[in-house]
Amino acid sequence: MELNERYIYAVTKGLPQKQREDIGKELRTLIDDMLEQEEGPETQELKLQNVLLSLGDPELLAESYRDSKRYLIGPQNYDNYLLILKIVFGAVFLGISVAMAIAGLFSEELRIGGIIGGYLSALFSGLAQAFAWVTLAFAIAEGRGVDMRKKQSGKEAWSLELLPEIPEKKAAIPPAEPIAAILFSTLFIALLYFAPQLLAVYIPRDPSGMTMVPVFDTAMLREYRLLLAGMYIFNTAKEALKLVSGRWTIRLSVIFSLMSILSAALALIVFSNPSIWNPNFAAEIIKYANAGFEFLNVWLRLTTWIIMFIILGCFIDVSTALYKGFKYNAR
Amino acid sequence: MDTKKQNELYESLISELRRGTIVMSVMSQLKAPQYGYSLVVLLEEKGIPVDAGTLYPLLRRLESQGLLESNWDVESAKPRKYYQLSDMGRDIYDRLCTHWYEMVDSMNAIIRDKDVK
Repeated sequence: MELNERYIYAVTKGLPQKQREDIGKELRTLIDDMLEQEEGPETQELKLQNVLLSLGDPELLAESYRDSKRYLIGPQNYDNYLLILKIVFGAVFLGISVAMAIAGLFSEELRIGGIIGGYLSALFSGLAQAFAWVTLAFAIAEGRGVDMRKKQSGKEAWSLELLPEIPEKKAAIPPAEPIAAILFSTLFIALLYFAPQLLAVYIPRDPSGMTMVPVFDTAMLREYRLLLAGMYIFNTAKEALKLVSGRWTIRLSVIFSLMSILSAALALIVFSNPSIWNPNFAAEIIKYANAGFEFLNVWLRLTTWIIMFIILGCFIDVSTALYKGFKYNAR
Repeated sequence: MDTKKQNELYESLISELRRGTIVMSVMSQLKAPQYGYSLVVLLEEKGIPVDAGTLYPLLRRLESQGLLESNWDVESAKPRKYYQLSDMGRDIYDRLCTHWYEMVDSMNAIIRDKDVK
């Protein structure tokens, strides 16, 4: 009787744990019943074989037991997935290339091999992360049953009123806008993430060479890498949504605003911590650039301004999005 | 088109027609509790053969949709899972039947119509 257990195992092994035992028990009885029904002189073994053969390929049987989706990203979202992936890949490629090119120019490292090696490994890790995060985001959206092609109509059934309005010229979003935003945030965050030591004040020093006074405490900034990645994801996601939508809708403007706020919140967590700044920055500038002592106050004010700048930027982002979203879609 | 291909096409159209009626056939037999294999036998006797491999997963699906209810009978020698229509299943089955009669009438009318011409 070993054969029937093997058959049952073949059917149930790929099914969810919860159902396995139940389905197994049911199939065991079914095979028993079918065996009893087999008449004729064949041996028990041969009868069992006939029964199993008539039940057919266990993979197919398992397939019909399984009603859940067996794909990460379905056809309805696949085109958008590819589009976003291409843009993010392009942005990451460009961002890291530019960041590393600058790094190469200023680095003490003179061996070209070392520079290229560093570039390739940064590129690989950046692209791998981009791929992982985009795929994860789409997989989650898929799992929650989001269909991006239906985003304008929500879950309602199709009807004539739901035909999209031909967008007013002003509601249309030129693709260059989100693409530029994605490129900029990629470049900026790639610098913060991969090469924060480059964000520095470069002071010429005679007879030759430069003194670099880094703006950030790089070790401290490293602790915030996860938040930086989070900022990048929200930023890219909100711009990607703009790009996919192609016009301001109420839905888009609300989601865009939420993501903008989340991203700004993460930025605030990072930049409001005074210890991310190079503690000796002001002192070193004063020393190397012969700046007056009042620079200390300027510097302290600057760090506060950055926080204001983040809040203001987020406010402008959110208010223009909501304004455009609601104004051009008022019924 | 050669006859073999024609027959294949015909068969696939027939199985498509059948597929649409399996759920109703199954529901019609579940006013009283049945276990999977007894249902296979019952349907075969009534001229609507359905593979066990099709029927068993279907019963589970209908149960998860709330059309059927099930009970394990563990008293007898073999453990059997009995299925029967739930209240909602009964209600929906009645409505399906009404729809079925209308559809058959219209289909008959449309087919005969063509014969006349």
